[in-house]
Amino acid sequence: MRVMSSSNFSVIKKLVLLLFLAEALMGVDRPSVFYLNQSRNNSLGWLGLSLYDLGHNPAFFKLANPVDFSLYSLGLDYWHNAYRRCFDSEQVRNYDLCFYNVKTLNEKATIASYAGYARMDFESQPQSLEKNFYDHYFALVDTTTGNLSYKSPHLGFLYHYSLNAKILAGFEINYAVERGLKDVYTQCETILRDVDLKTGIGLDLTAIATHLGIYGRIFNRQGKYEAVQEQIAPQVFTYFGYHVVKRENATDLIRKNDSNRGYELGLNLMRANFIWSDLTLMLSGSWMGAENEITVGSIARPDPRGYGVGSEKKAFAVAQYFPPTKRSGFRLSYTYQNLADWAKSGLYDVLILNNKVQCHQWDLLLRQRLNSACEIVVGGDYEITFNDYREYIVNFSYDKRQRRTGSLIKLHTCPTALISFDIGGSYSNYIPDFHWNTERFRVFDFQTTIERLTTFGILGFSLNCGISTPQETTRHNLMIGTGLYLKKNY
Amino acid sequence: MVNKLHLLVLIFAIFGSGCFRSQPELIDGTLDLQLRVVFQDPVYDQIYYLSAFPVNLISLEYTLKPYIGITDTAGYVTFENLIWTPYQTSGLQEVWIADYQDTVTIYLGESLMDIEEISQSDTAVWIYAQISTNPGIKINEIFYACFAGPILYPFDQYIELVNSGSDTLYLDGMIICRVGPKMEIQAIFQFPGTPLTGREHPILPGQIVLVAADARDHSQDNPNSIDLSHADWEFYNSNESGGFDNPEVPNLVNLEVGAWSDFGINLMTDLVILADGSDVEYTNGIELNTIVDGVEYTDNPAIPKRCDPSIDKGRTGLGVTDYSGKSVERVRPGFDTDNSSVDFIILSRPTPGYQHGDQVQLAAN
Repeated sequence: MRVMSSSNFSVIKKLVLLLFLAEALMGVDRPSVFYLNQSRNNSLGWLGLSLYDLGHNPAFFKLANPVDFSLYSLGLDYWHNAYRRCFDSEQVRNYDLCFYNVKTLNEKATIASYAGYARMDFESQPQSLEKNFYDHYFALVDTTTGNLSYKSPHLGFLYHYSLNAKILAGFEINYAVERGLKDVYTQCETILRDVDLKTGIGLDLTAIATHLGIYGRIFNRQGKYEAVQEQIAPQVFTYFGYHVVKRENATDLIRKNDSNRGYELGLNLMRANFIWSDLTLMLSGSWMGAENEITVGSIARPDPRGYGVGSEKKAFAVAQYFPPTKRSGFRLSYTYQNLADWAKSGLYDVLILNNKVQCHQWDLLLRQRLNSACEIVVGGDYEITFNDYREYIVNFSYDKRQRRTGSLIKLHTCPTALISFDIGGSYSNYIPDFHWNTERFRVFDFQTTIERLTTFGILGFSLNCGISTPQETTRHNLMIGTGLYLKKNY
Repeated sequence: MVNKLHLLVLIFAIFGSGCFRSQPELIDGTLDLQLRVVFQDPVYDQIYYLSAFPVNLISLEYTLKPYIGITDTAGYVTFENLIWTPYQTSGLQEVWIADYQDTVTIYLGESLMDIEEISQSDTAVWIYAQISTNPGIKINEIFYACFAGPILYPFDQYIELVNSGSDTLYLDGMIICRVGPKMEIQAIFQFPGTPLTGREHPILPGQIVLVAADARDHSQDNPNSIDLSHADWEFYNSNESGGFDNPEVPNLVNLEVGAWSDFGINLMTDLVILADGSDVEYTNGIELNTIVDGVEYTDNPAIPKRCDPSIDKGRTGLGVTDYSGKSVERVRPGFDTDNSSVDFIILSRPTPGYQHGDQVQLAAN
């Protein structure tokens, strides 16, 4: 599921998510070790990163978006999971529609706005009443298999302001609500609300080709689950970790409240013309902390069910060299992530599980221009993850070292002045987490995008498909995604 | 510009001011507990420390296998590396009591709720075992979970009664009720005859009486189910449209005005009472002193208990899920301590009309 979904975003959706929504979405399901997997393949295929892409400091928004534009996008994705975990659905469909606009108001101020609507359908999902069971330490399940549907409007707003020639400031707010419903008893209804605020300040020291920034972020996500029971009815359980369950009170209505809040602080540094002309060095580091409190029962007098705290340290280092006048270029990057989570039960002040993860990832991309209308990009990445996950109620531990290797090739051509065409593929091989019950996954991914300049703007269509295969079986998981978009530069 | 900078500094200060709870120092699965099982003889006020007594600790929070221990010669049993959760103790054994010059059945049924306080105690926790008492007409078995099958089939429920006394007793006018969460009567059915004084429907000492929801061979509709056509009694509601009535089996009749359904009880959680029938004005509940026996069952210990402790201090049925085919029955006919947590055991299959024996395998909790 996540393996596929994280690595197979269409180009246009990558753009939107990375620019605007990624931070809000990333804050949703903390704390969880599997959050780390979202970063897989994150930087493959991208050239010319800006400082904004690293930490999403809104003060540097203008570095990534120097030109005003409007973007209308429609995306459709389909996953068929022939090989899946206990609580994963067999098929997933995703539809999303968005409008994204960047507008320069005057010499100092720029605003960006985003409005989107997404719908996700999970078909034949066994038991889990959560959208992604494996992202939660206190997850709700029942005893039936059903279809779940989630509908979610998103809104975002960003304001960028240059206080003077050297000082930049930015403020960003993202808001999303989501409503989900299971179509069979217990007919669980899910309502999620996510608010994410971010502000940052940056220094533009043009004289020494340096940008320096700091940002802070707070996020708050509230989730409510309501499952109905009848006399001849399925039962509802709460999982504590992944191995122990508690049977929930067999009242008519099972309520779970999931409160998640946290904050993040980060620093960014970019030095252009580092050692060589056109060689750019970027460094970014952040610390994020979040707490997750689960209660059940009546709204007036809820019972504590569990509590967890997670923290994440993250660092990026990127050196990129893409001189416009030369045929060759490269980007070398390193990512470090350190996650530490723990959780306690609601009844006693005792630790029931903890989780520590360290991840190192190295990426290398090489670009070669074949002629003025054609360029090729090849790349590879290597990732190593150290896990230390422990559950104490049943004495379970998982401390396996995971490795992942990946490679890609991409061809970009402009056959005419009006048309551009991208085609590429990637391959990765990695050891998944323990609940996948397989030693290794191989993922093949194919992507193509065609764009045409029209009088209304750049009209683009993207298609990607991926196949992931576990080592022990012949079952393949398939993903197909399409995107249609219109981008108009001003 | 200075003011704007101040604003930004303030915002960052707000970000940094949040703090989360600290990580607990105690780790789950490290709790050590020492119990001492004692029996205080109410007649001679003598204390016995029970040796070689089996003690089960059942988590009231998580669905886990019970911890099992056996007391030493001084009555102590130690459990190590337990998880932090409230526990229900259980255990049952025949014990020779010197003062009685007889062997009696002793059982454990106490709950250990305040684990935090117990964990801080340096001495062993005393668990008081008790002796079975109270002969009379009892609810001996309840089969409520029903069997899984090609269709959902909740029609093969039954209740067994037994006379655990040494005298012949009479069922005339007695009522069987289903009691809801707010102690409201949700179903009420009555044996024919005059309550208290009637002598038409005897039940002999040790006799087991089978009262079926529908007295027919249910295996014809659900191959996994059982034959109840030989039942002694049958619940029947004449208001039920198309309801089954075996003409060869006498009926308990519905007393509830306007009720259209046959007798049925919840497949996971409910309270069943047997009363002498002198109070049938059900709208304001049933008089407590008319209740002969009551059994509360649930699959979930987190549900608030509904039965008065004088009727049933405990609950049976932990681990019995709907359509599991499991049944709950007294450990022996009429064994009654007014605590169904210890009076009843879970059977992997129902035993309609007879007491489970060695040939019936106990279901794992």
